[in-house]
Amino acid sequence: MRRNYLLFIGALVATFNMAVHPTAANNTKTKVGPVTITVGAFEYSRAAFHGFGGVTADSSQYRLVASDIKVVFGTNGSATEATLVGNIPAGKQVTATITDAGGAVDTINADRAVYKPDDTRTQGGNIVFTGHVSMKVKYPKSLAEPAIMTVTSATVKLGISPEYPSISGENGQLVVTPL
Amino acid sequence: MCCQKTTKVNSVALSTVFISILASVVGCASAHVSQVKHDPPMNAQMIVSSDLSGEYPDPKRPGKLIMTMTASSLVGTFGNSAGETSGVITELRAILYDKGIKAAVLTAPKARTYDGGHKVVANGGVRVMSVLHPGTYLTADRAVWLFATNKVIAEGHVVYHDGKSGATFRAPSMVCDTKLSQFSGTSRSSLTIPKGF
Repeated sequence: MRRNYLLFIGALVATFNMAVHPTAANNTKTKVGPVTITVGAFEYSRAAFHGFGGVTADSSQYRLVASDIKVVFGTNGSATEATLVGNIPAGKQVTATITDAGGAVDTINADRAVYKPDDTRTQGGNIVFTGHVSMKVKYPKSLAEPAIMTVTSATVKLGISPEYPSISGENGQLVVTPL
Repeated sequence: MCCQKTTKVNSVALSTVFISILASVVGCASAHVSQVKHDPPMNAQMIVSSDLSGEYPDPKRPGKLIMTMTASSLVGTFGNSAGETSGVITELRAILYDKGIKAAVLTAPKARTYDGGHKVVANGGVRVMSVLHPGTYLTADRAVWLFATNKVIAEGHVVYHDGKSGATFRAPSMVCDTKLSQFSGTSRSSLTIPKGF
């Protein structure tokens, strides 16, 4: 017998700002580091790292897949900026898989992603996605399918408390499929 | 087959040969000779053991060095049919210089030097410690140091650790400068940043 609920597909086209917070299923603080970057080839000086030929950056909170990465290190040796780009002529974007403390997985695709540290919170940092940004977010639980958003930019906030990583998007179109 | 005859060295006669091979293999060296194995005159093999040390002057910078080294032993072959002299050094500890300044310390179970110390080929588990950047080191199965181009070419399970950032690189091979300040790799490699980004 077919399910008797109404499957509704809504499309909202508007300018909006939204924020997605993780489910925070437990209170365990999530570590930001370490991050392991796998590259096809690289050049490194003590001030900067350039990886190319296919790049994957893995941490406990995210996985970023790109074509090229540049990491700039500050005088204290920590990363002050990391820029990942896709191979746009080949139609490849940066793909981000964000895993929150509750294990929920969201994905973001964009032409470019830039990380910068955010000193307003412990081990804080923001990854800003720009250029043909689309997000597939598993929130809220009342949706039958993940919400799909096309936005002008998206930001992933990183930190060590359970509320991170959090995702926010600006100025976009939302497609939701309620239960 | 090589002659395996072993004789005690206590004569001045062999010292000329000994100095000759050390000058070629170990540079301006000093050592205590404990025993010698020798073949017929044009294909002789010498073993020098205990407290071997040497200095390699920089030909372009009078008074400066390109390398100093200590080793536990040297097996040198000299006067072969091509008139070449070479030697295998064991338990090598070499201080490498960059423009007359101490840049790194290279240690290896086995090594060879060429061209008057301008080239060192080390293997058996090589470790290069940066002098200028404390805590920064490189380990590899094999490494070649080239003074002329100021490069260390490392191969086999290469690990580079940056003492400042704590970042660790792992690669099948990489090429870096003597100071371990910058390097590159052309094979699939990974970088781990402990604090993340």
